[in-house]
Amino acid sequence: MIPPILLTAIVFLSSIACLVVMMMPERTEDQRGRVRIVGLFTSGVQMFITLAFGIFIQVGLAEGGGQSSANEESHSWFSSFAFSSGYHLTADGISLVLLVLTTVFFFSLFFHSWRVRERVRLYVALVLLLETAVNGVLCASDYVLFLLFWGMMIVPLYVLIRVWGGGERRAERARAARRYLVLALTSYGLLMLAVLLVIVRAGQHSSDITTDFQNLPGPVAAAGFWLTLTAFGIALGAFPVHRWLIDAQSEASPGVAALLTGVASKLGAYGLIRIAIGQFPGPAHQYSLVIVGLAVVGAIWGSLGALAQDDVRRAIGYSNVAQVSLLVLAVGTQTSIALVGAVLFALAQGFGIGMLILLMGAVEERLRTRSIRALGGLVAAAPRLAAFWWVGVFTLIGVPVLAGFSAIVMLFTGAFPAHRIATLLVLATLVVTSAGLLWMGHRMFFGPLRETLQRVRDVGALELSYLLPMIAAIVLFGVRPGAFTPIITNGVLEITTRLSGG
Amino acid sequence: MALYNAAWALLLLPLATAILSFITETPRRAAQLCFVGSVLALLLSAMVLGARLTHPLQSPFTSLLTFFAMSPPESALFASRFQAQVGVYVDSLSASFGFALAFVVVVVQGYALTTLRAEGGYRRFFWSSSLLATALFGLVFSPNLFDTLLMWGLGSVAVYLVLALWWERGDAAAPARRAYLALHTADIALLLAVAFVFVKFGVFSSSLPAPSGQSLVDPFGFDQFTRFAHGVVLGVVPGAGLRSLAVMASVLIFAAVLRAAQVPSFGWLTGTATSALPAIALALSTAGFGGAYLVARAYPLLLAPLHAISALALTGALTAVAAALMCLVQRDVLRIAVLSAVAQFGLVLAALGTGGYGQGLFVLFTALLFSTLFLLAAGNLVRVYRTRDIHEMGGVRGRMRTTSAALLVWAGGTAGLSLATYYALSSVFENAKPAGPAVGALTRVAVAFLVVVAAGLMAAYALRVLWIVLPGVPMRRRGFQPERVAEVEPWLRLVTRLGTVGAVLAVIAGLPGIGPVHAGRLSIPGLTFTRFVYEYNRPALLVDGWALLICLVAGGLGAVAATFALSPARRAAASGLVERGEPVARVIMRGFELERVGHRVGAPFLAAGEYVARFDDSITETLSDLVAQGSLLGSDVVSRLRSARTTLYLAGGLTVAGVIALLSILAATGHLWVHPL
Repeated sequence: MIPPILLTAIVFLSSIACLVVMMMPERTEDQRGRVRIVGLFTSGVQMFITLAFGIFIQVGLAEGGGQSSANEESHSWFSSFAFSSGYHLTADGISLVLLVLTTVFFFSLFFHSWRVRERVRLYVALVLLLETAVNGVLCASDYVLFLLFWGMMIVPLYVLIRVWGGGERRAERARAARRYLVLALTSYGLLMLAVLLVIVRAGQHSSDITTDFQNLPGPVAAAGFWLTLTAFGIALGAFPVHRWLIDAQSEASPGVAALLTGVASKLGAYGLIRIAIGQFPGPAHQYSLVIVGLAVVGAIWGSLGALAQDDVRRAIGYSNVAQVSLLVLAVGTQTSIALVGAVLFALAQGFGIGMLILLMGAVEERLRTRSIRALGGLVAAAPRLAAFWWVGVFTLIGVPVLAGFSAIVMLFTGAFPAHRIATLLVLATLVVTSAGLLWMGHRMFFGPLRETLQRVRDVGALELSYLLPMIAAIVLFGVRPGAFTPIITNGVLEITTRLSGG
Repeated sequence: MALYNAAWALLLLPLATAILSFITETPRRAAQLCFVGSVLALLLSAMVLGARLTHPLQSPFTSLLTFFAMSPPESALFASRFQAQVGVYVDSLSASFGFALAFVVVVVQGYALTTLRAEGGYRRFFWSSSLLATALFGLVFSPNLFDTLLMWGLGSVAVYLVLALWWERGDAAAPARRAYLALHTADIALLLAVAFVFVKFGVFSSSLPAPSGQSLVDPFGFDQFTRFAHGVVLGVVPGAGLRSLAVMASVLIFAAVLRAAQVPSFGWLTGTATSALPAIALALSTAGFGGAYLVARAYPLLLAPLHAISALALTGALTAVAAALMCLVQRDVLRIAVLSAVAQFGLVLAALGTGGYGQGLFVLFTALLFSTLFLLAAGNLVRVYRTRDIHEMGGVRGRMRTTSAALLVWAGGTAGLSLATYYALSSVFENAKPAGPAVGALTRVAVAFLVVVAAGLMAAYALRVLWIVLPGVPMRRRGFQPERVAEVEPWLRLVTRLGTVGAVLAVIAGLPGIGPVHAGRLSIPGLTFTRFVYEYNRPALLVDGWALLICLVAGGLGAVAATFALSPARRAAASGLVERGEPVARVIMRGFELERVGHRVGAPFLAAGEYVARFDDSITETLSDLVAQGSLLGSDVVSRLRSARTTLYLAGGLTVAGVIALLSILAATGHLWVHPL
């Protein structure tokens, strides 16, 4: 039996906890510990609800031969304006899988919050607020709600980037935060414009996302498509609007950077799938070559850019640009197999890149450097850290038994018949991206151990606590992708049916 | 048939021991656990092979699990069902190679038990080699192309982990990275082939009647490839013509050639000679074997497009000659071992490329065991002489009997007695396999010529090694006492003997014309390897007189050349010859500069990366700043947020606003109040 307020709980528990946290004192270390525990407990409950009541019930339904269906809560909210709006939350296969990413990630991040020493209460409160916003975006099935949650992400993320990260590189961090803010607001503005345009011109008098806006005039649909494509492209950090993400994730504190790259930017991919092509299938199909072209250039750009970096975080950032280009490719090719692959890849990539950033944070904390040249032979001093690093790298590369493998197979098999040359080119860049990640890993961990690095601590219990949940998810989705593909397919089919004019 | 389910256990046993090895108390226990797992796997593979040998006419056993599945609605692009399956497929081929690989893994792990004990990463070697064993068994018993891709990917990582054993040494870690990238590139090529096969044959396969026990025809299934190829030739496969088949074959051959370390991509494998010996042995068996085995499994798809299969034959033959030539001028015994294996794999592909399916697979069968044998012998030499330079060795004959015997068997086999060159050449001469058109006359002549040259060169380098290593006395050098040269430890001797016996038995299994065996209730029909794996219903291969004669002559000439050049009387003259040809020899020794080119393949990418980064730092960043400057007002306001108090207030205000919004939603939806029933 699925609880009737399942999605409300997944979305809003963290904001209630945020309120509680704001009222808690944080003068002593014990008090700060309690603040963290409230955050951890809340995100743990949200993760449990998502896994137990959200996805596993759907998996059970699908495996039992039944049709898995979307979780849904719908109530009318207001109808005082020219259109009616509802409190409509839905979580189909796409949302549920990405909810696994977000809830597991946030849960891990609260373990990581023990690494945060300053303004703990504010940090935990902002992360909780962000969790509400992120989960809300994934569940919102009404444009007004969607915009509400989307906008709700901006300030917490800005403050998180701006305030935390130590005394060093303060100016760079301020600049990166400013860039983030400007581009996030731009993205939000474009999105709002698109939503208003669509709602007003569609004549449906409803802001429900599930409404099929088929009677949109051609130019309006095209404008809506381009506005949403740009907005979500910015959020995703895709080429050519990738720079802000590289800067922000390399300047923010490790936890925030991981959150930004691993989770928040994936909402851009979600928006591209759910709204840009789901709501504007005609223009999406018409301009697919442009999207695919951007994916190809982005993949080449990111994979090459990563090779030239000495800063580990920037190298990871460029690799991220190359990898999100795979998501853009799937969006451009618009086949169901590619889109299912893209959803799985978003999950795998989110965890993989998040792990690398968090691990780099651990290295940075111990050695006070991010330069690849300054590192070397770390595996001798910190073998577990090296092992986790390689798990992250192998997830991103798409090694079997880890979540990236099935995702990549599906993504490319689906993309190939639609745009062969582009798929080939992007496929070829996978080798360069892998080479970059591998080379970086070798320079950091292999070779003779430098004298200055001999007393580096290995991964401890705290690090294990935030890495293991991620690895468990990576392995689960790597070993049993078949359990999740039917429910993702159900979500994707709705979009591809619209794409095929059904 | 139930016995064939043991193939599942064969796959899972090494994996289980690899996982369990993490929780053992000491690295030594972990090693022993993995070794025991491998021995059990060998026994299981023997059971599977035995069952297959006694029922050779039984149809193959298939057991499948769905890895993932979906039903794409785009009927114009895809089949109605996209289903990726993993499982086991037991036929004569997989049963034979399953046993051979299990044997190789046992021998190599057995060798590593002693030789790596003092090394760091002892536990790591064993769990990663067990993981590699899982990938190898998975590959051998793979029922379809998707499963092969999965096992290739797993194998690539396992090889990388095994080769990176000495990570603290740059000269060992870098080749591991290069090896992984080469294997990963091959994996990606195979991924492309998987996509291509699904797109081209998916719809056609769904129109075919499903095999018994299965709900649909697996478009990736190896057992379906013949039907697909025939369908294309007959023009009944929608959207797939001979051109599609040629592209598909080219991609598959590219992946196989890269993985089997053939010209021009052999650099990644020869570079691994700096790694630990057991690691090299496993890398060799995985890499070369994986490539050739893919060719064997996807054979029906490769036969129809003539140019692709001809290119495969020429590449293989050319590699055999090049690698043999390189062996002739090498002094590093481990490099000779690696190059020798590359040459053998070249012969495998040459035979397969000229239509010699059974012959090619037999050469692969012996190549696996002979390359392992030579690595064991070379390992013994390096262990005792503390050098890898064969010119610093000598006097092995009287001091190391087991190693001498192993070297003799290897040299005999490499010189032609293993029938590898004979089989490769006979396939060129016969060139009339079913289901495949004859390879063009020019290609046949070229491949035949190259194989004969390779046969001569292989005999020459094998005897060169013997001539240098076996007779004479060990060279005296600093820190090394020649008088203390003695055979290796008893355990290593036992492992080496086991390897020697395995190699000899492999050749015996391939002898043409062995008839059926009847002993009481036991009845084993005609046992020749080629009949067993492929041509069971056809008459046993007759000895091809011409091929045998030519191989013997070529081998003899090579042997004579080696003897002539290295006999004491001629050694001075030969060294003069070598000195005169030193520049050429150096080029050959370095792999015709192809290795260096391979090592520098990353340079242009690095240069391009610099440009990309510079562009981003100047143009893109300036553009971003321009946008950001436009919002000065906003940035001014937010700069006030620096004070913690303001930030706190802002966050608090936002939270309150969020809560108000939540309450209003709950109120509007009736969740806030408890309604009376």
